[in-house]
Amino acid sequence: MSQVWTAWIREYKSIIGDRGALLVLVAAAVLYALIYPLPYKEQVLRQVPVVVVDQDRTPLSRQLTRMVTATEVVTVTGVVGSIDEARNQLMRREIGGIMVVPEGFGQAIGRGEQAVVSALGDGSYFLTYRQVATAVLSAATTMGAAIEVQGLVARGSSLGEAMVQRDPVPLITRMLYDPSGGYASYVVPAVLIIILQQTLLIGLGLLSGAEQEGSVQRNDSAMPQENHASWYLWTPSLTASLTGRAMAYLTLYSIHILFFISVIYSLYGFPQKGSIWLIFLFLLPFLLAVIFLGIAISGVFPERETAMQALLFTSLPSVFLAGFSWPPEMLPKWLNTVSWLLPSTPGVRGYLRVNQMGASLGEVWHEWIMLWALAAVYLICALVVARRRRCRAITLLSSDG
Amino acid sequence: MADRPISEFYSYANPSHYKGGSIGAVVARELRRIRAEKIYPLLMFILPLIGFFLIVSTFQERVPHDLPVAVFDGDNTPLSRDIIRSVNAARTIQISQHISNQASAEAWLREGRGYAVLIIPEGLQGSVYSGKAHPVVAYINGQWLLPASLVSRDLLQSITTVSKRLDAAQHVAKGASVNQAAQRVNPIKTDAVALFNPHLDYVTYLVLSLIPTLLQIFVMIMTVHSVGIELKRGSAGEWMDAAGGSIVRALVGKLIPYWITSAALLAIIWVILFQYLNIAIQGSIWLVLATMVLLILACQSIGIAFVALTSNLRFATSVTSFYTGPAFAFTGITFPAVGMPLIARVWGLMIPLTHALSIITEQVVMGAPSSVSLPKIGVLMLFVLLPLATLPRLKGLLLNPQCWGKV
Repeated sequence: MSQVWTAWIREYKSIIGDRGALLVLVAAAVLYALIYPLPYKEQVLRQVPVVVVDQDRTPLSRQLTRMVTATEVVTVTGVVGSIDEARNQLMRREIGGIMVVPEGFGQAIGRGEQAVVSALGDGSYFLTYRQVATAVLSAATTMGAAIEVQGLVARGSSLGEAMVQRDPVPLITRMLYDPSGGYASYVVPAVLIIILQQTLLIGLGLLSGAEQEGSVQRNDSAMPQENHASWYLWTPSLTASLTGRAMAYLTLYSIHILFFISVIYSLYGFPQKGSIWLIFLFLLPFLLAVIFLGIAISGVFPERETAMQALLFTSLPSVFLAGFSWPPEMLPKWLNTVSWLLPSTPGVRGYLRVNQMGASLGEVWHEWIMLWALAAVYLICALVVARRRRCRAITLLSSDG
Repeated sequence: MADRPISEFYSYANPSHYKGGSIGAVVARELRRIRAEKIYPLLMFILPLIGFFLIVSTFQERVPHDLPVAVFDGDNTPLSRDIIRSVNAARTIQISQHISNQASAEAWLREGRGYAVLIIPEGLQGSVYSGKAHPVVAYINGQWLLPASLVSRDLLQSITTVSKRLDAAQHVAKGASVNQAAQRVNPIKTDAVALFNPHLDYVTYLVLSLIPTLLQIFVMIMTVHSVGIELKRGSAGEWMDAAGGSIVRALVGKLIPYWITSAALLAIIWVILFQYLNIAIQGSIWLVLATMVLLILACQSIGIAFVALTSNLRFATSVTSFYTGPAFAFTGITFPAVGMPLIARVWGLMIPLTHALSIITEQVVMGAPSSVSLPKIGVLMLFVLLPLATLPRLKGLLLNPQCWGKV
């Protein structure tokens, strides 16, 4: 037990003693969590600028324009006569979409025929397109419903009958878990988990690289280096030292999780449905898996920067493989399978369900067990790597005489 | 290094120290360094190619389809089966399970089995055929925003189709012709068109943007490493020796090998995007090429400035991570800049990737006139030139042995 404790404290000391490690393991997790949500602060894209091409110029076309504005999803910045003029504005990126009300719109409605309206959204930005299409569709549907009901009443139905006939099987849509449809609460909780993983992996790699540098340059007085390698020698039990190290990161990262949930969540007003104990219980094997994975791969980084250089790019694929921004059902089979080797994949999927959707442990059982399996596999890898390193350190020392 | 007398280090600041030195000597020296360490091929080719491969594979389906949705059919009548058929026919939806218990709908979602549950209540057909409206309910998993919006759109569309079919039958029963009925049930038809990307293809949308995003990470990391390592290892003096004391010669000579490998990487990117993935360039191919080249040069320039300003490889690498890692979120590709708070928009404008992706979108996807993109080319040039103002500082660092060896 005292060995565990020594290794635990020793790890804290090496984190605090290395400015680079401090920056990655402590400051980066906080900084990234603060700056990453910034672009999505407003949560919902509103008031997308739209231009109306009104070729009809009737009270009905003007009414439709007003109704589109009333959705507040888009804002009509101008009414122009020709599509070309609107298209130029779109190309100059001044607007996000165009609503075209063709000539004869009002006349068709007057005659009881079908009128057509077009919503042309900027498809190079999906969110912009979606807002333009939604705004026009909902305005046209509302107006169409009124026209149909009026027609039915004029032909002798009662208002109640007309309402029923118009939509006998209405759909009631209940958006669960994130009723605001906010972009930040969609992206950020998942990214927080990725931040935990990436900073841990890089931080562990950095400390290990520093240690490698230390053992290489041990006799170089110009570079005073704490000699981490020797520590492995006087630690009698590898398992104890590994447990101690894991405890150091587990405690440090528990503080990060607390910070995320208390500060970041309330700062951005994210829904939080899981109890703190359930969150910790779910994330325990996640953190362990990441820590052991970090220790296992850290042996390949010869210098303190190498881990950051080699792992920085993995954040992007981790995000897209985690399954919240691209449905995992759409991944190729092999990639879906491989992605489960990253702790972030089951980690993000389970965490979102526990904390954003209020799932119980039983409902994320699959992910939880998978995380324990990953933790076990990476623990074995970490033990093998740590053992190999200790042997090498012993040979190095003894060859020095 | 260690056996050279310390007095020799101080002579680097003295111009008479240098005899000759040339760009060629620096190039030869850099090539030797590149051959000696595994990190170089890793950052120049292997990791970028792995990154590209992962991104391309992720989005190979191009458009999400057949997303799992459960249904509870409490009615079990021809009408309810008609609704289920109509929903299942929607492109984005696949009815993956019939649940037998309405109360288990939310648990089904919490277990992560799918994106929505459609509840068809008992008595639907009876009510509807006796002239009463009877709603069906869809529980959507709103946390998964992208599938949620696709699935809810298609659910609404397919159920409205069924509802309108019943409506049209009523119109016909009241004496309208089939053609009249079809028009009356939908007095205003909306044509929604996604300009430039009619099928909402994620390859054209995201892969096109993510590959330059990976590129900027690698170019900047590689540049910071190749310059910063000279300070860390204390080889800066020897480097300046090879360049005959000129910082410009030193940097040009050092960067020539990376210009060549970047050009090769760019050729690979070009083949992936415009040949393999078949993305059509709607606008000016030259502007697209210029943008990519300027993005690479800007990242090199900024990387050099980061080393000059931090005088430390490790810290410069950390700064590069902060700058390039979250950059994509600030470019406005996923969440448009108009919706961002001012500070996020300003931060986005201070990243060359934002301008580069803007031009790439305009010229590849939209086919905008060149005049729209040219000012942004100018901005990218500023990103190449402005950081060079730190060169005198960098030279000072390289010539001062006291700045070497910092970790």
